[in-house]
Amino acid sequence: MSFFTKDGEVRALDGVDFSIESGRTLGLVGESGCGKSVTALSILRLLPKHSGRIKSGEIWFEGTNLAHVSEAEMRNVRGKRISMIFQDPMTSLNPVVNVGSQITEAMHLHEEISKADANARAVEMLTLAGIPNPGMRLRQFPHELSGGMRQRVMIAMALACSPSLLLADEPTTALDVTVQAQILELLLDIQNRFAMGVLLITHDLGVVAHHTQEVAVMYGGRIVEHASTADLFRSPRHPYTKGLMNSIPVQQKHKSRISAIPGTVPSALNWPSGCRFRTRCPLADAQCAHESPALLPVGPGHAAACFKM
Amino acid sequence: MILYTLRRLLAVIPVVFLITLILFLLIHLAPGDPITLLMPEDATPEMIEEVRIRWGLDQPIWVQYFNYLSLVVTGDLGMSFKYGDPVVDVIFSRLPATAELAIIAMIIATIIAIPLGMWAGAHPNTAVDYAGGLFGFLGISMPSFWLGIMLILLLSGTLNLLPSSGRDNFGITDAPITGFNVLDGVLRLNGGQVLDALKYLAMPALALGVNMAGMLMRVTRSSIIDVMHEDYIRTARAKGAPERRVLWFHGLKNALIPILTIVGLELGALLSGSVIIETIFAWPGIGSLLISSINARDYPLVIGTILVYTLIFVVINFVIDLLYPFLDPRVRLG
Repeated sequence: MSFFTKDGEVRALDGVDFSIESGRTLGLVGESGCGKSVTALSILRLLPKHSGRIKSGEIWFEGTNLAHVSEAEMRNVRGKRISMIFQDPMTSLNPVVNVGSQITEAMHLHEEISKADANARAVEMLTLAGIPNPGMRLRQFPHELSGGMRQRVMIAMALACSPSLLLADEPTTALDVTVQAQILELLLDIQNRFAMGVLLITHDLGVVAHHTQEVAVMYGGRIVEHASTADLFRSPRHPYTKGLMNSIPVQQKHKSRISAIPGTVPSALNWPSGCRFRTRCPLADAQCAHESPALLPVGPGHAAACFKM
Repeated sequence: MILYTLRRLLAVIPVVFLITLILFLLIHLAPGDPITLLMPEDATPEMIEEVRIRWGLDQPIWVQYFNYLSLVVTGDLGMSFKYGDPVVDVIFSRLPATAELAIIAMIIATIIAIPLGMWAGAHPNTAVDYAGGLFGFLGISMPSFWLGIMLILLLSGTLNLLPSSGRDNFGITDAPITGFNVLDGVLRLNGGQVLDALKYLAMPALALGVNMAGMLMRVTRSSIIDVMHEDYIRTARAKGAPERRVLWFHGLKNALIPILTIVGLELGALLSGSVIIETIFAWPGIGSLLISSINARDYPLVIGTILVYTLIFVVINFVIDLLYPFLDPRVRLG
């Protein structure tokens, strides 16, 4: 996956490889700018046409390689079989279209359904998304709802056609902490009910620990570690993963400093040679600068990309 | 909403008061005496003085103004010196012609500008966009009177396709139903009248409309470019909406809000443009009436016409304001 900018080609994603089974949740973790959102948008092929392009790679979904289907076929997948929930519910809903029309839009686009039936299903979805008074909400506009309510509307919208895969791009980042937990619980509940596969993108390891079965850690457009959630938290192998874990504040009897990963994420225009994490890695040496580590198995269902393990 | 309407209507009063005051002073400062223009050349000074007293023109200017104002309050704009009829009647007999011209010009502008702007904005920095941009700049920079004269030279002069002046009504002598020739033709089910009326309207309306279309096209373009970068556009695409629907439903619905503002402003420009265009095309509306009344030093008619222009402008802006909540549910009037 590359972006073409005026400063040259940017390889935003490089060798990102994972799979999600139905009914399971994969967490995709990493700092801002590591390519999490781009990964999700690539799956739906929603990156701006003139700047973003999938140069090579395959996106297999229910037996079809989405990287190679036509735009028309892709439209039949979007919103019907794969849905997406975006980070900011304040800007992701159309401000001048009422909630009902926004939820029923996908139904009308993908199915032959009467207005009354679509509205009835929208009410059902809103109820499922935990919105009180759903019938009344249909006629309301986004600005009349709180942030949490809007994200529930987004969820109802994404579920409108019972998709088999849900891409949730930091669905709670823009919300109050108390609302975050509610929304995540709701997503989990709905996932169990519909047996959906979920890709949960987040930078919050706490969310990963509680809501996913499997985790992929991304750095610099690559997956650096991939494991079951339990494994990852029990024995993180990649120095970046360890750094992330150490930067979580833990309640301790003895006061101690939170250790942060030094430095900042390098620019995608100008990745360091070899291992992309080496500029911030405490273990880096000459080999890291020359060779790029491959994602290799380090245990059953556990892989990491580092020479220093 | 009702309270808002009432408040806006009350705000019109001081505007009207000020406009009459400014006009009254300006026109009395201007050189020229209406009486000498009105009277036959061999009129004696006694006769002139008699008329001057009859019209109240011998009074101090502030007395004249208050006499005038007390009549305006009752809806009486005085008598036209030139026509000898009440100013209100003279203006109203010519108002439909101006309204019809303005409405057709606006329709032309909208039909050209919105699709062109949407098209250009949906493909920024492509050949389509550059062609649209060229039209926009041409439209904005060509003065409507120049375009009007060019149209006359080409379409009436060289090609002899369209009438160059006037506003024929197909020899219909019955009293007009609405005063709008096109609409009257439709109501009478008289295709010939509709066609004839459109023939006379075509050039002046185009000359007026192209200018507005240029500005409107530029605004539509930049507005839709902004909107298409919004998150909710991505949401619409993620739902599987085809690009056509994303642009013309989700996009346009949001882009229309700034477009409406420009329509309101441009309508004002269109009104002032119509004064010149009506004169060029001898269009019997209130624009050409204004020019001829100025030339005749017909004070009550000049002030009355400008007052009507002011009111139209105020009403248009008011109507535009009332339309906002329909386009943007976030707007609450109050």
